[in-house]
Amino acid sequence: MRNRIQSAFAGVHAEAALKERTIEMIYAPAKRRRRADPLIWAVACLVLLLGLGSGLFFIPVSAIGIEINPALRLKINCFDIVVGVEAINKDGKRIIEETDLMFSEYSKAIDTLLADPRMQEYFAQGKDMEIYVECDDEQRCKQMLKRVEGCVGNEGNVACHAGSGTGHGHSAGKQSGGQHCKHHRHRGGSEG
Amino acid sequence: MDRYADMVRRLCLIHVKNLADSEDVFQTVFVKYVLSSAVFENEEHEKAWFIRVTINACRDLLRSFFRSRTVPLEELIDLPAEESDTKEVLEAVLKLPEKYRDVVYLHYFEGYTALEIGQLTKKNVNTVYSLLTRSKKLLREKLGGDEDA
Repeated sequence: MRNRIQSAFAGVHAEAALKERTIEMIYAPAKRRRRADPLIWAVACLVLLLGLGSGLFFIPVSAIGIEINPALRLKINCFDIVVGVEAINKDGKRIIEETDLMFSEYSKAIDTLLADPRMQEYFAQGKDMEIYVECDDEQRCKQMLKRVEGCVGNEGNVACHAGSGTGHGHSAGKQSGGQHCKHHRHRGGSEG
Repeated sequence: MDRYADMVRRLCLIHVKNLADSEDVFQTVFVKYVLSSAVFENEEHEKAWFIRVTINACRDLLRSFFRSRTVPLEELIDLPAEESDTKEVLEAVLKLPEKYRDVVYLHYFEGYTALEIGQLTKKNVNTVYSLLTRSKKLLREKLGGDEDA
């Protein structure tokens, strides 16, 4: 059997054409078998990441609704940046037209809104402000609510809520289904 | 290239079942050799390098999702019409489960001992002995005759 195997394999040779093609390949200009330049890979990866990142950047994953008389809704992406502002009523429209809230971190956007003289007027008139946080992730909801509560800590009569879903049972939109987490806070106390 | 081309081609034959893949592996091995910075102590060391790299390249290709279809032996190598025994033996070896083929080739054709095959293929020497014993039995069933005659 050894002899048969030896003679069988002895009949197998690398074909001349195969060797020629291999030699051609080895000695061909380096560009034919050169690996892609690492810089090209780096740029390609960067472009891909930017593409994916910008896609993610503009997708809202949560929203914050603010209602006193002006009613508006901030759409927040996964990086906690405001990527959309929606007016719920005419007063809200005026506010968003004159206030630059886009692409700011949501707690800063709330600070900006609360500091707005028109909002301050409503506080001075003793009106109640309602702020609600909407998102599908209960944990995120809680975290956002905590930060929002931190923003409004020194303001007038403000109630904060958090709810799951992309809409909310206020004038900002419709209540969506799913798990609902509710936290309620008036100035100086909390329940949830 | 001439020194190891036939050996690489034979190792390709026992693992890779079509010409295009076989040529890919063949060229990969020699390109790796040209690009390699390995310093070989002697010819045996160099030969062992070729065996290891070829087997690994074949395994990588077999794992690849893009590997091509299997073709009959006649399409893989030029076999003279009168070489019916060669064809029968090669087919018997190629029909062995993959784990047996390296040890059969390395033992019967290249003349390596079980210990050397163990070192080359990173297998335990007892495993190599078992593979050799089982492959001898399987080949004897297919080809008949004495195992080492």
